[in-house]
Amino acid sequence: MTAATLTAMSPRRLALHRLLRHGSFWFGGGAILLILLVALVGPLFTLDPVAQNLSARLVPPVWDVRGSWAHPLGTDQLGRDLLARLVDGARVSMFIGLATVLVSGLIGTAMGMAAGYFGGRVDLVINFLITIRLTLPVVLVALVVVAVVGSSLTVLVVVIGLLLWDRFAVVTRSATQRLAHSDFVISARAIGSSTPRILLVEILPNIVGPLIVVATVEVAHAVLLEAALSFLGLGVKPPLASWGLMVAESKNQLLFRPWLIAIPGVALVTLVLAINLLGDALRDVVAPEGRA
Amino acid sequence: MLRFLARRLLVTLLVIACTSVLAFSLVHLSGDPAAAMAGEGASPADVESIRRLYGFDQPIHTQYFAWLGKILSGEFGRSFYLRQPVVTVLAEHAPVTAKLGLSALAFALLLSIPLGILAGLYRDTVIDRFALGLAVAGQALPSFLFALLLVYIFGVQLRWLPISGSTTWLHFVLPSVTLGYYAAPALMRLTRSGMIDVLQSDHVRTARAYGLPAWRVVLLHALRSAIIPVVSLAAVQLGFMLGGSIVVETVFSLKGLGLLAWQSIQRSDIEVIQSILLVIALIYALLTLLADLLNALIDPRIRIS
Amino acid sequence: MSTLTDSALIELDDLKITIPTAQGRVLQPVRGIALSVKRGETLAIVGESGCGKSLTALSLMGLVPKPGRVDAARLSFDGQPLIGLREAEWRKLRGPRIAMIFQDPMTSLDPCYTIGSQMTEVMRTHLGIGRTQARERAVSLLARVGIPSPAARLEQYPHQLSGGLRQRVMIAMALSCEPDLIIADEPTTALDVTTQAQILGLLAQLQDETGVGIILITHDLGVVATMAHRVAVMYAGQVVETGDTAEVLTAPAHPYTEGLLQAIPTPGRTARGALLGSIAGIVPPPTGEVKACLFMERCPYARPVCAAPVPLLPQDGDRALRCIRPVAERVDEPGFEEQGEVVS
Repeated sequence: MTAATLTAMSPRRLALHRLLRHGSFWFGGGAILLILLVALVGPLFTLDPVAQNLSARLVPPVWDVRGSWAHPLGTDQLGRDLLARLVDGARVSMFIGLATVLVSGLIGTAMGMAAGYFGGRVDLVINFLITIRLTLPVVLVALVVVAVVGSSLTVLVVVIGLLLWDRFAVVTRSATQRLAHSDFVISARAIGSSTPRILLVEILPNIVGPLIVVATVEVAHAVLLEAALSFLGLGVKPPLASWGLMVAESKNQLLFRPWLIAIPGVALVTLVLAINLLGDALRDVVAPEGRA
Repeated sequence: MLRFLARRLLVTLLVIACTSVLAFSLVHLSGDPAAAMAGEGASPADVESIRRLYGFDQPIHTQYFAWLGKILSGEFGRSFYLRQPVVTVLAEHAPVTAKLGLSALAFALLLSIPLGILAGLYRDTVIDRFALGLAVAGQALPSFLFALLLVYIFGVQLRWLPISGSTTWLHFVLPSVTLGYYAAPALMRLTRSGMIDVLQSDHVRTARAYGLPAWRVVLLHALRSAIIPVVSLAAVQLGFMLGGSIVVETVFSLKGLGLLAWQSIQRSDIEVIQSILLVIALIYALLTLLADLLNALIDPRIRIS
Repeated sequence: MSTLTDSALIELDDLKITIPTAQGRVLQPVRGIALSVKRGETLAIVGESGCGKSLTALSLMGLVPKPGRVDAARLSFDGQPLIGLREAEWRKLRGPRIAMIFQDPMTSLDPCYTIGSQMTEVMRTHLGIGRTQARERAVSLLARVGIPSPAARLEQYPHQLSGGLRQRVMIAMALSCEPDLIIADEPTTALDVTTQAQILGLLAQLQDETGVGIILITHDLGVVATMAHRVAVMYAGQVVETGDTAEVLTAPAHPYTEGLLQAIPTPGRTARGALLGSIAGIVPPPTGEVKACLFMERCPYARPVCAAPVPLLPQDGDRALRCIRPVAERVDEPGFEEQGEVVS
């Protein structure tokens, strides 16, 4: 018993140990936590992100001589407080990122597990679905759907979720395939465990590692996609704030007030970079010999 | 090999058929296309006449097969906004996107493959760190932001390069860099890990043990094996770039398929949107087929079996 | 040529290979190898897997993978010192002077190129001959190693050939630049038994024809007995016994050699179903300073005096031994457990 728990525990302990010594983990995780905290409690301290003040339009940020602490990051074309909109945008990015991955992860994992476990015709069909999904250009399809259905956060989550499940499916499929032929799954089948039980109790816990890695990649992907859609004017609708939308709204200010683009831009890059670094750290731990 | 090819062709055809259904239903199932085309403030009679003109009053599957039949006979319909045959519109815009996609791919490959080789050869050194850092930065930088950054630096501050339009090849530099930079990290990582694997393989050890010059060992023996998965990924990435050029084309006002798609979506120009979706899916499917053929060319184990 | 027959091709003394690991430890897979090979002679290096024999071979070609470090009191090839050789100078040796045949013929040839292109690449690199000439030479080499319809084989890819044929191709490639020494690292391990015999026979025949020196790395004492003029027995990164093959195999002096020989079944003498003699214990890890005889832990004859480093001691003739209590001095002591003699 003790020997068994030891061998079962030590690789996990080892993984945790390696994770805690990983610089990317601390930087990425720290930045994500900070942004999450700002998204959750930030609005309590900032001005109304949609309140327009036409007499205080395009105020530069505080580090400019013309700036003031009334608007630490300045205001936009409509006199809205940039800091408040930035915080509001963090909520949108975080929500979209996490909610879409819930949708796409559920779809992709279910399909991948079915394909990997049952094989044969099921595998063939699901592989075919993955191929079809890959032939559809993500941005274009999302734009079309949002254009015909109309834009709302829910629509964005569903659309992006329905488009980004492919990597989950591919990774889950190959991981499940390996496990389906492993001794412990075969013996579970031999003692008469039901198929759902095998899938949920025997296989799922053993593919959590790669799934988390894919999830981080896809959160970043979803955040970028939402930003791109909002930038193109078919994502988050004003007056709701989104970092991509903020960049789009200030596009023509590039020449004279580049900070209007730089501020939401830096926020977006920081968030995505943080997610990617966290993902890299997790990948190093889950698959130390770093395949692709 | 022939059977493999036949199978691949069959799957490609099936995929394209399914994509056509999706492309068709995407645009048709939601909302009333006739009302959208007529625009706001159109009279019910106008909407009705548009409905009849475009056949929107028919059952959906009848419409689909009618549409498919027309497509198969090369008849892509008319753009109701531009008042031109869709084929003409596509023919006008496609070359720009093709140029953009190919030069972006060229940039991505020129950046990622040498870097990937170096990172693989000098693993865990400064070069490796630099390459990985570049990859992480590349993956975190949204293309519209990178595009604006390039415009700001090279177009506005330095005034080296044009920032809008598609008249000369110089116009394609910044868009290609933007689009290609985003595709480069995945290619770089795959080249790197492929090189690391192959450099430890027996046949590379043999090449070394027979005193072949270092460049022959690395480029002819190691890279040739390491590049096989990269070729597939490059084809996939080219497909993604062609389908994802919307952002870049709008920022740089390149009159390609992406800009056309964006404009058509805003104009509810259904026939054009459908055709673009179909064309891009078709190109993607053909690209993956091409990648398989290229791999067979590089790897004799696929070719002769 | 004949005057050179007796000069040593490889002279190696006190070879050490150290590999720093990522965890900050230092591995010493090789820590005391001495051997020499003459022209026309076959030296077998025998030992169990992990004893450092392949690394020893790679060090003779300058191919020890980074970050491994090679040190030796003496390491020379044909009178030329090899320690500190630049990469460009190594490249001139690899192929035309020293050639290598590897264990796994399935993976040792590049799957992406034809047999012909791989063979001609080597010859054109070193012999400065043209494409056509190299091809003609490749055909005659393939014929010489007994490959039927050699011209057709040139156009084939490695995966189209059987394991035995591929190993013949490797041998042809090894011969292609007329080397002075061929290092064969377990050349028959991956092949089936009949092919094994053919490949070994081919190597012996080619040696008779060309006078090439051969270092044959193997874990199979049967191969040693049929092929080698001399043998070096390795244990835990050290040579523990070396000498004339017949002498070493018939009268082993080192307890490890004795143990190895007892682990082989002898037809007619070993009973059916009987357990073979085995050496109890495990090989010591390749770390830390050598403070005692490395075989002490597993040696049935070990005494307190063995708890000190043992040098390789020269014996009569050309033999050398790393043991202070050789077999001859302890005739009456109980040896390895004789489990093999249960006669039913």
